Amino acid sequence: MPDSSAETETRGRRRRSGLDASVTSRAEEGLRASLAVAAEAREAADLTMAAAALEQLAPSDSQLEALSRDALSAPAAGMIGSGPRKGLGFGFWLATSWMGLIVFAAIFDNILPLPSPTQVLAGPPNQGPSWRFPFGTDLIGHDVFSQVVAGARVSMLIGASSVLAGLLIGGGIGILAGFYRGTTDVIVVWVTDVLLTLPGLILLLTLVAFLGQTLFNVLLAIAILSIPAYARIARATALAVSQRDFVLAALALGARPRRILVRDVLPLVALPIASYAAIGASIAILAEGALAYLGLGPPNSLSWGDMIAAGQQQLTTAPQLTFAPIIVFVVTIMALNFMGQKAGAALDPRQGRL
Amino acid sequence: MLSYVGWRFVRMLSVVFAVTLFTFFLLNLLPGSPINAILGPAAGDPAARAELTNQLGLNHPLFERYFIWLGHALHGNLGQSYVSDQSVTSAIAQRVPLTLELMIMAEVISLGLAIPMAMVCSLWPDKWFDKFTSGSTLLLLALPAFILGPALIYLFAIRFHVFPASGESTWFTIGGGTSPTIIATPQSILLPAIVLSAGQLALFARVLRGDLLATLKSEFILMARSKGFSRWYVLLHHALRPSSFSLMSLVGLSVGGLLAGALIVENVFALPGMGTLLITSIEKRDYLIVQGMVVLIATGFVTVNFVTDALYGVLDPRVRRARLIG
Repeated sequence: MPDSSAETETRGRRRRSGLDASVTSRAEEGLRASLAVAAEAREAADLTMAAAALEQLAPSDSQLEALSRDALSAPAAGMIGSGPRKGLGFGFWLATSWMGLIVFAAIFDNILPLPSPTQVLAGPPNQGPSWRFPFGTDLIGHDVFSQVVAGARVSMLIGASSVLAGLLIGGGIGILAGFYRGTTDVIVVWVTDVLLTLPGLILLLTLVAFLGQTLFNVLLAIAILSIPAYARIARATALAVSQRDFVLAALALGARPRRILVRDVLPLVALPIASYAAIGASIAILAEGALAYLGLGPPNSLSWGDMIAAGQQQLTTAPQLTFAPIIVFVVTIMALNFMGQKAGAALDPRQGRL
Repeated sequence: MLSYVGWRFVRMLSVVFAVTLFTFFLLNLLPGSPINAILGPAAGDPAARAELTNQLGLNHPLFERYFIWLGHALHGNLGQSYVSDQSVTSAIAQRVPLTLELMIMAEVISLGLAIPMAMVCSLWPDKWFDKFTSGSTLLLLALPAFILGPALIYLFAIRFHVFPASGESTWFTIGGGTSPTIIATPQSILLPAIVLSAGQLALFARVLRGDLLATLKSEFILMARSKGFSRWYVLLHHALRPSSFSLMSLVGLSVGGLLAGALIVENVFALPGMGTLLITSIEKRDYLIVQGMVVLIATGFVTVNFVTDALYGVLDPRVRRARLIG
């Protein structure tokens, strides 16, 4: 008698665990699919798309909970270093050096031994590339190279401020929402939902149209619009991390929530959002480029978008005016995207497995 | 079922509500008063001030004004442009067809190319075509319209005179009155549509390729192959349909990106669609048109998202079950 009852109990447990496993695997499948779309969309450097994909993550909190028990513990082991760790590779360092060059140009633009970007007749007008003027000159003899160098400043300023706002404000809000849940979480999810479901460019145009076209307003608008993506990534990660056993263990040991938040959750959330920073910066720089191209950037500032738009008027007579900023812009965007992908894959072992 | 769609519907309404609130308060909290901003130099004229005060309902408290404005907007009355003498609704309605034309054409191009490309890639993974596609799509994903546009104009309109250059596009109008509908000729909209489709094409091809490769590994494909069907036949008749779910939802979700792209592409090619209207209105500080367009675009976009989501839930029972568990 006791034997058979034990048997039924085991069978029941087995059946239940089988059910759990199927639920978990289905949840995992869904999560995997949305993560894959998210990764793909990050490549696309398209905020709306990444958001839409991440949004698929958001309602699946219960799936995340189910996942966190077993599925997440496996990659966690990989994080310690049991899995094969891929190097960042040559391409990553190439991209990093390019970005170093651009940042250098943005900072030291004024003291570089180049003709001033606004100096008329720095050389003979409308020339193709030469040794003295690597990108040629425009119709009134501006040196296009020094204009492109000067244009780095606006782009880098935009990238840096959006990353800063995203990491500090977005990351902070996201962690708090994911860790404490409750009303904060509901509000954060709703606000970010509204901001993320709408096309970012349209929000940006609206903000700048109504606030006025100054450099500060453009910086502010792009920074504000960068926050939701970081907040959602931080929230999703914090949510998953705070379900893990070591958080439970810390709670059982009597640690207060704030201590757990800072000591246990924050370090694990910091990596994913930091790895998003390069992609986030490239999205912000693209947005500023589009804004400047449309003639809605800050007036009288040299920006690559402005230069492309101005050059397009003389595409037939002086194509170098359009193509010089285009090439630098594209290489910068691709370098940032590449860095972001590599950093994401290296820091987040889950992505490598997907 | 009902609760899944219902929940989505409530969410859609909340987003539309937020957008109207956002644009309304932006306009009303402009530095100075909206009257100065809208009238510009004409702000000194007391008659115009009084008329606008009345029209905007500025003599009511702020929150009451919002609901008055919302009521007008629901009846299709978004106010009167102060630069041209069109109503905001007709100024926008005049431009919508061209933008839709551009978007539909771009969608057709991107799907028409992405599906065959993904199929070829998945038949011979890691061979030259697959590698070429993966490289070129990665590049296309990084190229925004305002970069691809001038580059293609230079190549196809200036070097080889295949398409009309920017500013030489042709269009015709339908209907009379102050705001006839504008429609572009196919040859002047083809290059813009190609530029607009580039990013989508790349994304679609990559996603479908991934899903196809996953499907081709399943056992029912092996079964079909062992029955003697050719690789192409199996791909077309067995693998394509179950692999197209992500693609279908992407098509819906990417409408917003397509619209934002169309706004830029129109400016690159100087096409008289919604994008050029929005930008010139911002430049001329025609705030009521800007406000109306943002509300319309946001509403249309959220509606498309809602329909996609709802359809997705209807087509794929796994989705609605997953959401209901959560």
